[in-house]
Amino acid sequence: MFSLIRIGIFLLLTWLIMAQLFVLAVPLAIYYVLLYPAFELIVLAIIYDGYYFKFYEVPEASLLVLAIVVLVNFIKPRLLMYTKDNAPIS
Amino acid sequence: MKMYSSTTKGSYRHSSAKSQWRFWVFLILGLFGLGFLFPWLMTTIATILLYPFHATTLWVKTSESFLPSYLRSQSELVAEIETLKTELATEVGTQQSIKRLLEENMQLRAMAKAGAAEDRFVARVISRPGTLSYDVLQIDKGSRDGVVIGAPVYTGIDTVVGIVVHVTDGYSFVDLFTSPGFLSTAFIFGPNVFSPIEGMGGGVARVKLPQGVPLATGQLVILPGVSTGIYGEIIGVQNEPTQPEQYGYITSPVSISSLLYVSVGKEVAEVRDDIQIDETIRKEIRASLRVSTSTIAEFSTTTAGWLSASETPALTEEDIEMAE
Repeated sequence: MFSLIRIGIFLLLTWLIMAQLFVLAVPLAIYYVLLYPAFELIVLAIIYDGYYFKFYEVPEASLLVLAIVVLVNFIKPRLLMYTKDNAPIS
Repeated sequence: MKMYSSTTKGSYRHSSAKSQWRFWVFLILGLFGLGFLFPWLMTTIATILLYPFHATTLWVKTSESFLPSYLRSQSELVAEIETLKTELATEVGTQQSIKRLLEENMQLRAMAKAGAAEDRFVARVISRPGTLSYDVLQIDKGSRDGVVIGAPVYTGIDTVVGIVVHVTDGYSFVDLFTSPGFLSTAFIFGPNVFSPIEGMGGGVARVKLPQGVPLATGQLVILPGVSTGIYGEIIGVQNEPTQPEQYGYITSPVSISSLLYVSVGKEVAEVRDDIQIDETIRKEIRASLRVSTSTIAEFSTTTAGWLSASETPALTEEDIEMAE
């Protein structure tokens, strides 16, 4: 289900967000979303909002990441390129 | 008895993806529900889950170990370099501003001093040879401010650069001594000789002297027609032994293109030839020698009778000569 690379990137992403290194975290998150289904990012965003007491107000990060992940997963199949054998090019 | 599974590879993948979707949907909805219903619980869970990352971050940011220190010092040094660069750029800009203001202040002080001593006023140069044709300056003072045609224009205290040739209410034009065709007389310190000076254009004037006169670069040139009017110094000498004359090229010590302020004399530099000067001096001397009219009237013995001093007309030079 999860490769080691995926887990590694996810942990690194988590640490970058916690260290508030958003300059690095945002591009890595975009890369992650394009490469994997990335539903775990929604979970991470929910936890992040919980960590910063955002559920007492509006969990903006969670909603934003949810929207992005759903949108990208909706668009991604339409952006795939196929070979003559109808196999998607990875 | 069923000997095979009805689940094919394709249907397995399909159902697997579907179950994955279902898993994530339930998990996310559950977490959202938990967060909204029990935010304190969500905060506690998040704190526990993120504690390792928080501790790692804290370690990197505060630890005195080699790696964090190295990373920190490097990033701090980079930040410090950026800060210093910004400060340096700001400082350079400030220094330039100070230098510019200082120069302007010195110029204005020099102008004010000159103006106080010799009855001048300061004018700002609004156009110069770069934008005007020929060697002409445009200044922002005109007849409204007292500028008159023929008034000398100075840079600094005693460096005269030209003469006002055109005056309007609000501005004036100054013809520089370096204008092509401008002719005057210059005195050259060093050989101590008078020489005709003619404008060549481009901020350069030329003096012409016979061969044998020791003309050299650096010698000061003044225009005696204008009081205290040092014009500039000789920057080059053209001397061909086969020619009867040699030329010295002169520029103003101040670049015309960098002129910002000039001072304008309130009095016109009157140029008189030697005949006029002789005539003026002669009249003054004779006037000083003139005998008081009242005395002459008292001792007058003409047949016209006695005239009171107040009614006595002033005697002319011809009368004095006739009396003699």
